[in-house]
Amino acid sequence: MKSKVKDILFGNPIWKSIVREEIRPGEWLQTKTLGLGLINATLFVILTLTGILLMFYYIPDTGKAYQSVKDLEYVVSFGMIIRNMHRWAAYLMILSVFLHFSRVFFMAEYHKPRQFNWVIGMLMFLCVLAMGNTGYLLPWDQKAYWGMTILSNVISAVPVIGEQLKYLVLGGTEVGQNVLSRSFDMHVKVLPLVLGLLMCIHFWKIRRDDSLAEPLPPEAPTAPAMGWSDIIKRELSKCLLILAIVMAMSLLINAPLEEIATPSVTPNPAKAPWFFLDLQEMLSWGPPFWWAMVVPNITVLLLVLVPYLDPGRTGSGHWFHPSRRTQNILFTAFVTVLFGLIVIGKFMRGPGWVFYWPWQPWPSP
Amino acid sequence: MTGNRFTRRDFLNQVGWLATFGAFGGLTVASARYMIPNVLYEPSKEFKIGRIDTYPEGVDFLSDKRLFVVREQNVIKVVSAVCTHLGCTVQWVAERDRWECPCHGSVFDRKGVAIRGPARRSLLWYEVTLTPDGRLFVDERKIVPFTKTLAVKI
Repeated sequence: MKSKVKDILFGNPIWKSIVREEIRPGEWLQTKTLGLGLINATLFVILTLTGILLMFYYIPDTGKAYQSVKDLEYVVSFGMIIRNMHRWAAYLMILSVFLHFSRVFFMAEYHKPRQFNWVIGMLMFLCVLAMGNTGYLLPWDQKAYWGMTILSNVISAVPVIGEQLKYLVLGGTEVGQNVLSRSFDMHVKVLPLVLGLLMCIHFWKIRRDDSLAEPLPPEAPTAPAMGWSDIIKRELSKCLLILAIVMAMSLLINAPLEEIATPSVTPNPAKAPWFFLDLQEMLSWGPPFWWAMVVPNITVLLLVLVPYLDPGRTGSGHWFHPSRRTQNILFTAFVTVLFGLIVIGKFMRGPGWVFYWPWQPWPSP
Repeated sequence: MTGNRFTRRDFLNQVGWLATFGAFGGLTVASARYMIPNVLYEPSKEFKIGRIDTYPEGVDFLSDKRLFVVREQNVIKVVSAVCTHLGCTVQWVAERDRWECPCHGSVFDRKGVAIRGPARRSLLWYEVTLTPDGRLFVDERKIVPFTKTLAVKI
């Protein structure tokens, strides 16, 4: 009886369809992927479940949104924790998706036949960023309102069709009910569907393109063969670890909520959420056409096309393979610049976007 | 495994599963409690409805409160307009001296008693009192018999 239950739990076709059976499971786990893909999937599940719960009380109306979020925090049982879990899991997800594709890059796992899966992955990253942005607007506090104002004006910097695009995104000429309704719809229905679909394709392609990049070189230590239940338990324990981290953050630190959106008062400085501070920092350097349109879009394009720009065949499955020194240096430089921009935007920009060292006090208002 | 001994591995295994189901179970229970609201934003069940002289002789319908105010000279009664069958709003039909429900045809006499139709229970009469400043005060939490009325000095 007990082994039958074990069979159903661990030996069922769902797990077997995701992981190849012919490979000794122990070997597969030894490629040191850090389980970032699994972490992303776990965070997605946490976000979906907490998101569904939040939707029972959140009201997407400009007159009621803020109050419904306050209610969630103080009046609804466990509301504060659920909201915190949603916020922290979202931030962790953006970070971990980034780490995941960095890991894939450094292990050169986008070579043939995995090129298109990299593209799918990049599309998923863009979905996650879009969900971050649309979700950020929903509490309708100062940060939400002004962040969307900045974003809509960045969009209007697109040449030729900029104003029309802004009109389309806002559903009007100003940040109001229409953009809230659209963001809510995108965040809660459209983007999760698209992301879910992309996830399915992503997993299916992994299975199809061989889940093992390349056979391990002979000098690598061979792991003892592992049974199915051991794999599932290992993966499950990673999921639990992520859940524990998210819960610890949620119990200790509250997701921020500024004052209610006030169109007449722009906070100084008005900063975008951290994952867009890199863009906001660049925006302060020059005309939006170059720094909001050209540079970011070229960066994204280059990222998406990485497997086609680097048609090499070497290094798959190894961390920092010596044959890929140039690529690894370039990518590391990119990552450093990106993090640097975010750090500057977060800690070294004060009122008026003036540069301050972190220890320098800002002038009193 | 070494025979029947309960090893360290077995212990850690059990602790692990306990933690897993504990975590999921706890979250499920928390989510279930989460679904039960603690605070409602529904309108209050007790409210004022103005002075007696604003109401005509006979039966008057207060649509935003779903109530009928029944006045006989200086005697006031307040009855709910909610049909006791399935909750539609009943209509006062003066020619036939009764309330009729448009949804399934229930009929209530001038005492609110169900005399026909799927409804069985009579309409609810609510307590109405007089405030110190001379206004009528309805308390929907207090259901009173038809005979209990408020006599107001005009």
